[in-house]
Amino acid sequence: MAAGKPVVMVTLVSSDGQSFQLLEEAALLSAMVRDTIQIGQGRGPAGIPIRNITGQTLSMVVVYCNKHYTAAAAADGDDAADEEKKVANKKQLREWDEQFINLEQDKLYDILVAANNLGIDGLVDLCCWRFADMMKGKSASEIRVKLGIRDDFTSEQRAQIEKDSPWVWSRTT
Amino acid sequence: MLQPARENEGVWRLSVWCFGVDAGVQFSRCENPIFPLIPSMAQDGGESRDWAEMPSDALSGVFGKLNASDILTGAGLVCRVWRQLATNDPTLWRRVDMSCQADLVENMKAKYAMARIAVNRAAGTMEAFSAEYFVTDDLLLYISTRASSLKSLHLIYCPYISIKGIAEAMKGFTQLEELTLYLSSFHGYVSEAIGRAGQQLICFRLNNAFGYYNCPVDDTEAFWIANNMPELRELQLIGNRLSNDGLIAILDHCLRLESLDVSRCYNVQMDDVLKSKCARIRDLMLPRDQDVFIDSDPSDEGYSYDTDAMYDSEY
Repeated sequence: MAAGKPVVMVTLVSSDGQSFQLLEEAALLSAMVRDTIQIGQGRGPAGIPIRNITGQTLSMVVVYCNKHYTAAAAADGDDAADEEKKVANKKQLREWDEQFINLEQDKLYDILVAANNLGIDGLVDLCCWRFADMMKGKSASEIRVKLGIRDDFTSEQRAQIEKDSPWVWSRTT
Repeated sequence: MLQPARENEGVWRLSVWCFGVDAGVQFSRCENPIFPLIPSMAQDGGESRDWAEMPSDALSGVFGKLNASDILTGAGLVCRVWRQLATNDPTLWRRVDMSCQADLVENMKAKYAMARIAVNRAAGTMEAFSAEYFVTDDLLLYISTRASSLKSLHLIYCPYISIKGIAEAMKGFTQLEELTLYLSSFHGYVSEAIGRAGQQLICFRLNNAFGYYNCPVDDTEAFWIANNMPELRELQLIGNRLSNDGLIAILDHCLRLESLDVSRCYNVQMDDVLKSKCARIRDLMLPRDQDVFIDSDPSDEGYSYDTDAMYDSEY
């Protein structure tokens, strides 16, 4: 953080009433927060209400924003010529991301939906990557079991699928 | 402040422990066969997640990170909503990579059909297609007539593609910029078959797998490239029979060339003229740069094949 810069904090309030205070610059990773602040709201003591996102999920999102803001600020302060250090820092952040997102699937779902609503592109991307990784190499029925999704195809749709792609039906039922 | 009390977490942990399995397998509350009505089964917010109804832009993002085969055999067939997304979002099929798949031969027919579906779903917007082994002349023509927007085509060891097939397909690829033909063994000259499509090629990789010493010189391919691919930035000709004359023609005509790989082109002898002409090339791989498996003297009799007989049998 550059010296002399005033420290501005914002408060995010979850749907279940929990408050999280963080640096405004960190919160600005969210397009939704950005828009709110741009129209001159959200800086007051009441904070920014975040609908549909509970405290437990929001706390994770805040951890992510803080980490990525700190990493970006540190990178700005670094000697631009020091490529090796930059690469090392990037690698470190990627490792942190991977650990951070190594979550049980319901939490992953919550964070993906939250990041999507808040417009935090990096976090959406990270969640999508992790979620896709969970589905790679799995048949439709394996995915259904894992995520508790019901097979809701009509018999006509099944017939169509069988016609389009006969090789998979044996795998999916 | 950042760590508010997590009232439900203990309950949730206990529930996972009770099942003794990966937390992933069950927790859609309504479908839990053992405790269908216990509301505390789901942790955060007290509600189970409806994966089938997750926001479509988020689901799009997830699908975007899966490859074509994963969508076609798995995620795209899970439920109505997911299938609809897989079928109706052409952007998912812009870059289709069907290479590097382990079950090489068994599913050839399936892969053939999958590639056709991918092409159809891309609805004319496919930009890159990459495949190993299963592609035939018919399939190539199918792609060519429906994906004229294709910019990049990678075909790795596709023995069912002929020169004639390449020639036919290339007529449809009017925007192709990158063409890779790895481990190919065509009976004829590929660059000739590429024809007019060569005019806008930026990258051309033709890998004949095995170049060998003392093979007869043939600069036909090289001259075709020199005369018909003026935009090339990257050229890879591995195991080609071109000589210094062919390579000089390429260097003189392809003025934008930045990267050149002529590994295992043993008829090329690096002399002063060639060295000076190659000086402008940023990435250069010379005939013997990749000789990892041949480390003896090339004049050694062990590497002197009856090459004329080999080529006679080819044509």
